[in-house]
Amino acid sequence: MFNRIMVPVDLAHVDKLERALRCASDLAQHYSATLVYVGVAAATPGSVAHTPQEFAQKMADFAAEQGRARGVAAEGLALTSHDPTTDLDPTLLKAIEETGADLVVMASHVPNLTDYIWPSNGGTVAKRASVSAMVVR
Amino acid sequence: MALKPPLMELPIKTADDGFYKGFAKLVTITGKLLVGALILWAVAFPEQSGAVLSGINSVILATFNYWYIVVMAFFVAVCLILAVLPASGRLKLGHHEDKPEFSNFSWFSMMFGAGIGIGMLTFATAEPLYHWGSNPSTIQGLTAGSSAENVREAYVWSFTHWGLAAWAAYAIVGLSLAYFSYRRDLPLTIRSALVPIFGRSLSGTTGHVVDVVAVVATVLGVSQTLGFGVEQFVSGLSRIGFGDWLYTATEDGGQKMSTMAIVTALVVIMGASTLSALSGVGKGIKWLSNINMGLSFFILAFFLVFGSTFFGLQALVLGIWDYIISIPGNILTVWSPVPMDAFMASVPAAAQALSPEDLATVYGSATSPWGSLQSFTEGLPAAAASLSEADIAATYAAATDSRLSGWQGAWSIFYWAWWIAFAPFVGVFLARISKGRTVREYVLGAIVIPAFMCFVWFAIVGGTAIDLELNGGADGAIVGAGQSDQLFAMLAFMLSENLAWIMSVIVVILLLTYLVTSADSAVLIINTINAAGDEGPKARPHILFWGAALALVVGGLIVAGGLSAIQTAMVIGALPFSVVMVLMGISVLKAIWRDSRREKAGVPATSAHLAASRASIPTDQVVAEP
Repeated sequence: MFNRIMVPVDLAHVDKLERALRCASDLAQHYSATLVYVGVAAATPGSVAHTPQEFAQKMADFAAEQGRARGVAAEGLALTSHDPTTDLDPTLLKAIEETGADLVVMASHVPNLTDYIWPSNGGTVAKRASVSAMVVR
Repeated sequence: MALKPPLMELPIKTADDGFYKGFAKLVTITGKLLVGALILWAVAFPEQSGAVLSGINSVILATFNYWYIVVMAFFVAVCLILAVLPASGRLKLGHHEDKPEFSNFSWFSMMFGAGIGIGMLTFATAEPLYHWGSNPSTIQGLTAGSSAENVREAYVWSFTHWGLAAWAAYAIVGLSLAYFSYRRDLPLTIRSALVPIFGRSLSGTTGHVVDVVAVVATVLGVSQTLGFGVEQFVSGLSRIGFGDWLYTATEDGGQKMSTMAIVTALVVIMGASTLSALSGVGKGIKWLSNINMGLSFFILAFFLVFGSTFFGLQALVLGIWDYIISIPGNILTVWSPVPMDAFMASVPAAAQALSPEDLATVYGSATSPWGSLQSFTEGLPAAAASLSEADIAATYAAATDSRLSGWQGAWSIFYWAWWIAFAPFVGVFLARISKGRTVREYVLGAIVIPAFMCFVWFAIVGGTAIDLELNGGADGAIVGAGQSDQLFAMLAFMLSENLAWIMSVIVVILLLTYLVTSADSAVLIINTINAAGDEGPKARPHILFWGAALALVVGGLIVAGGLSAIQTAMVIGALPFSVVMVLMGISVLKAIWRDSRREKAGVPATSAHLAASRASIPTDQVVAEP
């Protein structure tokens, strides 16, 4: 039913993503799909990586390690954005087309009052994406 | 000594968990304590703190006048030399293959955006008007104040204060940050710029001190901006018709902002900026910046069409010409006050015969930069009134240097301190958008474009005000209004009542969005510095803290001692950062010189070269040096 599952990840907060990562790999096993981990970072030196090249390497390593640990086929994709906080949603939506994904699995928090002012990234992607999206809360 | 690759790793310890997760604890907490102490002092002892700060204002300005003038000249020199020299001008702020992150168009637009800050709304009208009334030429008796011949002088000084020097100060911070961040992969935070001087020790106390100094300077620099902004905001509210409660009468018959008005303005401004900062770097700021740009160009277009276009354009062209010619003569000029005994020795014999008390009074009024020969003559003590006209003029002339020095302290030195306090903030932004540019491109883009934008505003908006006073029959209606009210007074004079009201509302909205964007980006930059250069941490409690702290610093100091209290606090707060900036200048010169030698010797100078050479030689032979 699904061939490529896109999983947006923030390498600075992998500890908070466990539920989404497990859900994605379970689905990937079930449908024999390939997982595509997508990360977005600015071009400036940050806590995760100093350069876009280093960031791409880290995403590839992360994907390889996840694929081995969970026994599924996995790829990593590193995207650069001028301002990840503002541009995250459009960047992820573009990544869906770029990766040819037919399902997005991403982590999000439980909506609360502030979501009326600042919608969550997961919520926005689910609303705008043309493919199926699963938001793991 | 064999050349080695430079230091390319600068770990800064940040907390792994808890309240300060992602922040360098020592930097953050020290910054908070220092700012907290200032607030406590201003709020708990308003009278004492107000008196102390206002009292030492002139002392500080007079003591550090040489320092501020010389360091600003140094920043201009470093930027221009690096841009002009072929070897340094073509160096890239990034690795060899890096392309500029932003297209030329968006890069220029962002530079424009940085160029039209909040100061434009207050000072584009106020400053040319002030200088038109009095400036060093009128003080020396070379031109007459408020006359047609004084217009060009007014623009020389307006452009001096908002021109190359201001932007060179921002550019030097941005240049050194971008150089080390993009070529050596160091974190984009203030301390990285000093690596060639202090090396590894920047991971420890030295680095913490540098960052704390930058945070304190930013808080006080932005407070100064907010202080002017609050004053003008209240003025605007009063023009629009929000009521009489905004002002209270003072004992000497004047009026000042009521505490209620200050509190209301700060709650609105800081509430909105904190909400915007909480929404993350971009969402709030991006939206507000678009409003800023739109409204700014609307107002500029309004003055171009309905203002004194020809007068303004003439002021622009002549002003830029006069300004450029004046730079070599002005840039290092420092005026020192004439001490009382030197003054007494140089006045004519008839004046020396006065009693010591009368002479002290004469000295006091002759040294005031805000007087004129006429007001000096009228204010002479009874015993001195019999002096001949020539003796009075000679007595007044004996104190010319004191008046010049007083003028320079209140204008140039104050501005230099303000630009320095603002430099960590604007510098980080300039560095952030300039990856992949060459040094020459960067210096020209970061200095020439924003300065030109300021000149256009000053010439068109300020020119309209001067023209209305000079030829349009305003008859003091604009000059006579307070600094914060002059833009509104000009609109009221130019337009019918209803139109003036609509334009005033637009100005107030623009003012509000400017203040909000300035304050919220300041809060985000402070958090970035505290987080060792990481834009990432979502730290809502810290954003709330700095938002509230800024409001309290501004409110506390205005209530305690008015804008001059903020000014003094800012001039003191900028001082340590001016030292950091001089070190930044030296450090970028040293790095560029050494990197060019490294390149000749084939030693890796950037992290990309280092990575490439590591692939071919065993890693234990590559030892970094500072």
